[in-house]
Amino acid sequence: MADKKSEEMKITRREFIAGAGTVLAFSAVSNLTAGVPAIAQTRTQPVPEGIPVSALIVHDPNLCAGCGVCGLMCAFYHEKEYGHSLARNELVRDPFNAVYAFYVCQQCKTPSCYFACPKKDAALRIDKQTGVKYVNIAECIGCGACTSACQFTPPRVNVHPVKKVSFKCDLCRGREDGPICVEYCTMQALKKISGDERG
Amino acid sequence: MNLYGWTGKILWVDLTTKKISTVSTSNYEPEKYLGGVGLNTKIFWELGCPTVDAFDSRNPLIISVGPVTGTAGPFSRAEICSISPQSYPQETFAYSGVGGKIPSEIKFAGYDGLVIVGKSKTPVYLSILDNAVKIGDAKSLWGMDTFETQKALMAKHSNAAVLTIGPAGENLCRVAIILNETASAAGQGGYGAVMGSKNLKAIVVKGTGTLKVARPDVLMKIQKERMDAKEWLKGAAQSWGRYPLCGGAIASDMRANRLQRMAGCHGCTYQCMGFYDIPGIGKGGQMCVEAWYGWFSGGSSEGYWEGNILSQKLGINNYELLGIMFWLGAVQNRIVDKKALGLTSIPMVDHTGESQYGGQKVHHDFLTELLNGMASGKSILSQGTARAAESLGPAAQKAFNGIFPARGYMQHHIENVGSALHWAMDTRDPYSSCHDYTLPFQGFGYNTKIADYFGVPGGDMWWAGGRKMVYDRTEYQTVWVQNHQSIKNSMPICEYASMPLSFFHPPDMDIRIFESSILSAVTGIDYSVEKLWETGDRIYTLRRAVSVMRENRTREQDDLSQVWFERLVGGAESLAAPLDRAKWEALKDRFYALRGWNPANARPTRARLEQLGMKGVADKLQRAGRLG
Repeated sequence: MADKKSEEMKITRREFIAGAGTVLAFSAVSNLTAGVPAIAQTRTQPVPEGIPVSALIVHDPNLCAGCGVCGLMCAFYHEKEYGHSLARNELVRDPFNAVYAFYVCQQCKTPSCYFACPKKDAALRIDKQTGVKYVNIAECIGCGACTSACQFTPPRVNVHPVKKVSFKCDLCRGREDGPICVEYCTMQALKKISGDERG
Repeated sequence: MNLYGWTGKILWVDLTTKKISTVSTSNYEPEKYLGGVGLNTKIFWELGCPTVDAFDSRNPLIISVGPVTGTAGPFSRAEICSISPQSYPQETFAYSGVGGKIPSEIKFAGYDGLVIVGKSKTPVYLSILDNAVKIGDAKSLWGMDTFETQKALMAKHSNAAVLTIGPAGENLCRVAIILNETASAAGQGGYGAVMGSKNLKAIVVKGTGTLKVARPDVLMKIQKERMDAKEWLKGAAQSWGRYPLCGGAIASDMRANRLQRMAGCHGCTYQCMGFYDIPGIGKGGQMCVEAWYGWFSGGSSEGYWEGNILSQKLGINNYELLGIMFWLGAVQNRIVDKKALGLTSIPMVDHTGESQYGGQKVHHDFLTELLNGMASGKSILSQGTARAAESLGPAAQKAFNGIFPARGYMQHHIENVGSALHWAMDTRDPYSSCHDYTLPFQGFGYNTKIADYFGVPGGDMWWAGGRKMVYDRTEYQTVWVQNHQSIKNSMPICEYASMPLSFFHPPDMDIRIFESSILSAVTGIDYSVEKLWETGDRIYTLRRAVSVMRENRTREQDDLSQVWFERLVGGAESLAAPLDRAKWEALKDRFYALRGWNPANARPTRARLEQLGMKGVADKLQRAGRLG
């Protein structure tokens, strides 16, 4: 799979935003010109029995205008501040071709981040009702094991640039209107699909 | 210094000495002048309003964002102020706004503004990656078009945002633009040539910082209200950039066959541009005046699109090109010889009998000749239509005067007395930020409450019931819009988002409340509507103080060309009747009185300046012998 990570391509999200990722980003964009991003197939362990398949945010690059409201509102909802570096999603833009790639946690059925966490179930948790993987920042020690274990490039779980604990998309768990990026996407390019729809 | 909204830092770059430093934004009273044009004008004022020419190394190029830049909404705007090489007959201290991606990046990189002075001996570009600011070698970029320059710099600087000039700016074309991405340009003013005169090819910015907001819950509530007006915002409602504005067969073809998707500025909830592709010509965004050649291509989409793509790549002002196309009617009328303009053939003159005026090759040959002539500096049109017309003699200049009513800028929505007065008082074509006069243009219905804003019966302002020539109380309308204009281009908020009937704010929310609420929530300073409008008043008055100080602005200069008093200047955008000189001068008297400027010399008075908290400005004007 095109955006699956190889060892030599490991980069942190901060580096990705700040500098290192251009060539990679554009190659990833060109592979995402049509359809929704594929869901990871992994060789790691499945989630424990009885936990439902999580919903997932998918991106339609044919509708996306590349505005970046998704990232701004994500940061603003979770952090009360604006800025790309605080967003749990990442939009990589090629404005000369109007091609945009959207990176967000794929809520894997076999979540390597969860299994890599030394404080599994305390720091990196799975919501038993919804199947959503999320970080409990009170317990997270910021070791970055989840970032290293993530099957995607760029990684979808990262170390927060200020708080130095892990942060990732939790589908705005507990927010009545669902993920804020989906609600504020005026182009309707982002959609939340349920676990059942994922199959 | 308030920690919300503003970053507190202005980047100061001297290209002569290569010195890079920062100064505190608080030196410039940002609470009183906000950002954008207000902050830029304050910086220029404190620099002593240098009386140098536009291409003098001492002409500062000042680029500011504002307190709300970086938040989600129509706020990714930067304003560029400098002495304008496009303005005519006198170069004026003017302004030009640009949207796109780069304004938010400037904010996230930690700056309220950039001031660039001096001149490099060799081509350079400026890279700003948070605190890492460098002047890099741009020899290999010199001569490259705007798209290729951006691609090269984005590859080198990890997908950063880039403001660049094309060959037109390098060759000091007086109508050269500064471009970000494919269709976000500082168009009017000719500031691309100011960058060119400094040997500055591009500015690259990437910011990983954040913007703190004073009252996030309040801001979120306003954003939520705006989003709840879903019929104004979502999906199918996106229409603007799908037109294209020239209409007819071109618009139908472009919409049906060439539109890829919508596009727009960073973080904005209304992506107003259409992104089009015609293979063999190129891809890019378009929203409004990118359609300049569409009116003259005889229905050829290829002609229309090549006109836009080529002008953007070479870095030439589309609005000026529209004016040039109108003015080329003078060739048809045998007033101007096309050879004098370096043109072999003009499709709309020489191919009128043919389908699509001879088709793509004819358009291609003409566009290449015209635009390369301007971008290379070889055509007299590279000096702008105003200076070209002057060099061709009185008849050419007379044809020019009707189309270009003031300061060398082409007519733009002078449709009523109020907008004519606004034009007469400005330092350039003011329609980067005063479409308030053109409410029905949006076609979204008629809001009678708008009338209250202006202190004049609403129906007298615009087309509803037919255009009228109303002088009575029109000064209230103009002063209101000038103050609103200053708020818009200093917060800053996008022009299309800030028209009173526009689609960005909740439909039932008065635009004044929207703007004051957003600004208050972001900064934590309570800008009531009254305080906000006083801020606009202060900014507009400071702009006048600069004009008086630097350009010795007089009442006589507050005017439109005489043609506008003699006959109707045609087209969809025109007055209902020629201006009446006696009524016009009486209106100006009332305007100056309402502004608190001396009607005899059009200069601000001490009383008014002190009322606006500008005693220092009054003192300086007095020392220069130029107080009203």
